[in-house]
Amino acid sequence: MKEKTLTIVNQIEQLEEMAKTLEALSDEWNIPMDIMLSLNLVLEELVTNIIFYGYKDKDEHKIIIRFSFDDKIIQIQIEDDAIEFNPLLASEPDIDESIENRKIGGLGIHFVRKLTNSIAYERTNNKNILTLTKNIA
Amino acid sequence: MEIKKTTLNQIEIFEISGRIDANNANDFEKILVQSIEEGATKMIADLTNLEYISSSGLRVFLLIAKKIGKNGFIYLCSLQPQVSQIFNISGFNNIFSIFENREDALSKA
Repeated sequence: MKEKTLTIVNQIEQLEEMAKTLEALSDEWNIPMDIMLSLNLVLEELVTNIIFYGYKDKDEHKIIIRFSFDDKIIQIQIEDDAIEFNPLLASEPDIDESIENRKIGGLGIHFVRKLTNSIAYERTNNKNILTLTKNIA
Repeated sequence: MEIKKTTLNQIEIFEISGRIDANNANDFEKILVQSIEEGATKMIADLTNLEYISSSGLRVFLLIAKKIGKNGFIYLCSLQPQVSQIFNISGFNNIFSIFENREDALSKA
């Protein structure tokens, strides 16, 4: 089992650090680039939600992202101390609407659902812990 | 992200390269909105070199399409596989006119 932990803080500029880590993991673990781009998107959507909507104060908070890989499945776990948010309960956007009626929000979680194979949420000790898996075909 | 703008027969063509994410989507929005404020109604976004887009970037395309409305168009062309996948999953492939290449987009403009 290969493992890697990335700790970032709640600043949107940290997305760059996250993208670099994923690129490096793609090389180190020999994971196809298209899978890594999908995982980058999934992580961006989740981490952006946490950073933009998760905190009531202006303090610095840590977001811990743990990756593990057993040659078939990549597991990603995101741990944060933001307000309770279970993405599994988020409503689905209506993706058949016209441009005029199409709403701007809600797409991020839709991407997370579509681009992963499993999602599990738990709230423990005032922390959100979201565990995602992606099968490498 | 880098954007190169050229104008051809009153059509503004934006060549967008790199990544559009939550970190730079605001800059992307400013550039396109400024063009609309300066009177642009016909736009083509050439995505040949766009390797990554997230919902923050899609949000900008939707906003621009709403702003242009029936006064003109924003056409997209040359989507890379990751970008194309995101357009398909979001249903944006049904609400935007997407072309194989720039020539096709220009011929419908």
